[in-house]
Amino acid sequence: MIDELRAVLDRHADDITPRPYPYTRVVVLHRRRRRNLVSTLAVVSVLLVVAPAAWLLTRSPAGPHQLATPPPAELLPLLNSPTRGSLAGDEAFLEAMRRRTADEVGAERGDPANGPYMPTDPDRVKVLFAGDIGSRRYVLTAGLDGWPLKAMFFGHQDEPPAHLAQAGSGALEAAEEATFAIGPGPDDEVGFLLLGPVGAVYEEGQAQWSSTGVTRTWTAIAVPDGYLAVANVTRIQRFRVRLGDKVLREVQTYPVKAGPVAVDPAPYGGRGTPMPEVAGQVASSLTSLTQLRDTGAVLRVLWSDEVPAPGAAGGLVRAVTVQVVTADGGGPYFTGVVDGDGMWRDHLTGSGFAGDPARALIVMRLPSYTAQDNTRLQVIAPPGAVRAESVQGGQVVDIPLVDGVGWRPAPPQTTLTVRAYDAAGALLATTTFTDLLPPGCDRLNPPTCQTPVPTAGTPDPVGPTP
Amino acid sequence: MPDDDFQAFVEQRYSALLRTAYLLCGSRDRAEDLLQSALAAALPKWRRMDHPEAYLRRVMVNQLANVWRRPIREIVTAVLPDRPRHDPAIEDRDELWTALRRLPVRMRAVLVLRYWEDRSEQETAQILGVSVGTVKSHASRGLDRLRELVPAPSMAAANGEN
Repeated sequence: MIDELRAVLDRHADDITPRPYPYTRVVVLHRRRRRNLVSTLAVVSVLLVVAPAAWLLTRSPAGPHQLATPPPAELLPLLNSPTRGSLAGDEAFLEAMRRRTADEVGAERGDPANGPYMPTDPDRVKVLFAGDIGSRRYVLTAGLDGWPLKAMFFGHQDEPPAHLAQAGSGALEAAEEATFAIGPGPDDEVGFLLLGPVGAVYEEGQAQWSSTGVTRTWTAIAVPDGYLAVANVTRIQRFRVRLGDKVLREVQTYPVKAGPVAVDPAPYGGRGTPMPEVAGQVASSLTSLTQLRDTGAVLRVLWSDEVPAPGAAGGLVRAVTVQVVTADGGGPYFTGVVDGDGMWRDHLTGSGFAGDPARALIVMRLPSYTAQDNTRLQVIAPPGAVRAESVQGGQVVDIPLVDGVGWRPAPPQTTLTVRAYDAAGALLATTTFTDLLPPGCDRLNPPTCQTPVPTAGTPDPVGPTP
Repeated sequence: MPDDDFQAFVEQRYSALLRTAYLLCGSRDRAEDLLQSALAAALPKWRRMDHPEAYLRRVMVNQLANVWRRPIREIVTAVLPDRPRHDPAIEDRDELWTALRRLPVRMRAVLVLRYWEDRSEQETAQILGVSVGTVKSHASRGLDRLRELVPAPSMAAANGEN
């Protein structure tokens, strides 16, 4: 019966395709609900509490925008810049977009007392960008008072203002970016826009990776139209826009589709079993993350094996860690796992920087296929290591190693120190593992991981080999 | 406020979640409504979520269960459907599929999560907010009920011959 049921479910599920623009529809629905909720609360509040006070306040000559203060100084360069984009000279189009913004966005976000807001007066709305980028039409508007709210509109090339879909709103920033799908499908190509104030410098960065981090060299890009647009993102690029010495925004573009990346699947030092397909996929991800695709970067597999994972199809996953080999012998690494159904996972602790694998020690938590964290802490030690130990709160736990690889169970939110030893008992390497990484931490972008967070326990100091 | 991570999640996972929604409710249009509604509910909490997929599944099941309890159903839709709201009649010719749609919502959800998404009993229990024992009993009784509803000869037909 179960097999028949699976077959029926498979057959019916295969026929289902989503309608276009699911994200835009979610945002619209969310805004409608919020508007309804706010309206209901407002009515109740007015009836029960606010009405007398409001009556008193309305006796003053206060206008609807009297509470609005001037915009923050850092936003003025962008707000004072002329409209950019291929439709910047179409005054009728711009006027229609100002009116739409004031009517639709101002109607629900028109109170300066509630954070970023959009005026309801079209004359207090500015079109920052209006134009076609490839086959897509994009319009960015913003309020000119108080804490400015921005609103984004998307559509197909040549669509009139009334047909553009409002794609969202949010607090305006000193420089704006937009990434948008060129087609309706999830695998369609994407376009990109970076918009700073007039006079801003746009730069492209080239990364130099090492075993300890990344530095970038920036080269100015000519932007004769006053903005940076990529109609079809076909490669990974890192851009930033600065005004004087102040960097306003730094972003990275990713193409939707990317070709294969070659890597020797044999794991370093015999640590595990070669898995060519998985290694290629992980190498592809790593070169995308590091902007090293198609640059001839040398890659190596640090570890590759089939390991148990709760919830994974068949109970097992194929896990591979790939490293970029930089001039100092180490470099950034990334770990990916895939189960029998081809479902991919990675874990925040599975990427980072490591030195020469002959001496480097990596500890990571493997990804989970269930609602709970995987308890498996994977240890990838120098191939010469025969045993490791973890130290936590003064408690030492031995971790047997085979070809430099081992593991131990550990609950979530763990911080501990791991040491690896050779057959003679000499300390080969030591490292600290923690799950307690700052929110939003990208371990291949070190500045995002430098915010300290409260720790559940302090790692044991690394001392001499006992 | 729209969120880039949320947008990426929607774009990457929408199709898969829509299939689950469809198997839960049995209607293409209601599946879109169900998923859109769950995603709209998730949007304000997005940054605080550890397991958004589990959350979305639970919301969909709960919404579906609540919809069935309500005498009047509110259809939440963000855009007008671009085609007629009738599901293809061919679905009704599939007896096992029809029988599945006659099961109670949570029982059907257990069968979909366990046997189509291949989730463990523990994970299914976590998603649905019920005990593992409830999952076991729903799965067992659900399969028994399907056997009752679908005569044995029809099962072969349901298994790819229609």
